[in-house]
Amino acid sequence: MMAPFLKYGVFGSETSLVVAFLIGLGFGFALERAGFGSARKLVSQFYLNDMAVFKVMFTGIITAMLGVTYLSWIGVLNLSLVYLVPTFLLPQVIGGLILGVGFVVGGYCPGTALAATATGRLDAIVYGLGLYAGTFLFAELYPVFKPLHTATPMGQTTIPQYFNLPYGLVVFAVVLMAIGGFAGAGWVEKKMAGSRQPAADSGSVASAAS
Amino acid sequence: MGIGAAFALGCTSGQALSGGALLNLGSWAFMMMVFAGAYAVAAFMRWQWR
Repeated sequence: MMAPFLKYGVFGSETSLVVAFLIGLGFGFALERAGFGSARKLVSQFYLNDMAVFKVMFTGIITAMLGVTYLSWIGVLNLSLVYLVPTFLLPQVIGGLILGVGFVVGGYCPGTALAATATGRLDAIVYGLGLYAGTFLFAELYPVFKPLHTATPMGQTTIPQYFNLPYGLVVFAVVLMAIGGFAGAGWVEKKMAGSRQPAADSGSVASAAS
Repeated sequence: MGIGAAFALGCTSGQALSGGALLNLGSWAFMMMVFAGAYAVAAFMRWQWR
């Protein structure tokens, strides 16, 4: 066992900031290259024209999940020392709904807004200002939000722990779900492209019909 | 969005991606709700994205 590096003292917190910076560079680069610096591209997910958000998200989750799983199986990573954000079911459900609505209204999620700000998009800069205003408001009005923010505490728990399932089985199920999801996403994209094409461009009617 | 992320203890990256990969229970609940919320209001915001 040697990972998590920080907890086993392989490097200190100063070095971890450098590592975080490098990972952040990579993450921002990947987001921009995926086209996620564009609100229109992101929002297409919710109009089913372009399922890139789903595909990229799940590719990321599956890759990280399998990496973490295999590293822990071969004994390099101590999973029990990896920090888990504690579950507070009700506020997370409500926060998720707020974020989902905000995603369609604003066109970004917080991370992609930062990536788009870096490329100088005005809508993302305005979005970012709103983001900070909302966070500031939350902090200032915390006494009001506190009862809901701390409701239904369930501690640090994972799906395998909560439902008492073997870890590997849940990993396998998520992989299967993703494969099914990717196939479904491809099917939906084709279907949407077929139904849109004649109206969008009369020149392509012939090719769409054939 | 700031308020939503504060309530949920994280955003799409911090909760859905990191927590999703760790099979965190709250992260998956959060992620499903993000998509549910977005799809629920998408029809009403279509005019904006034309």
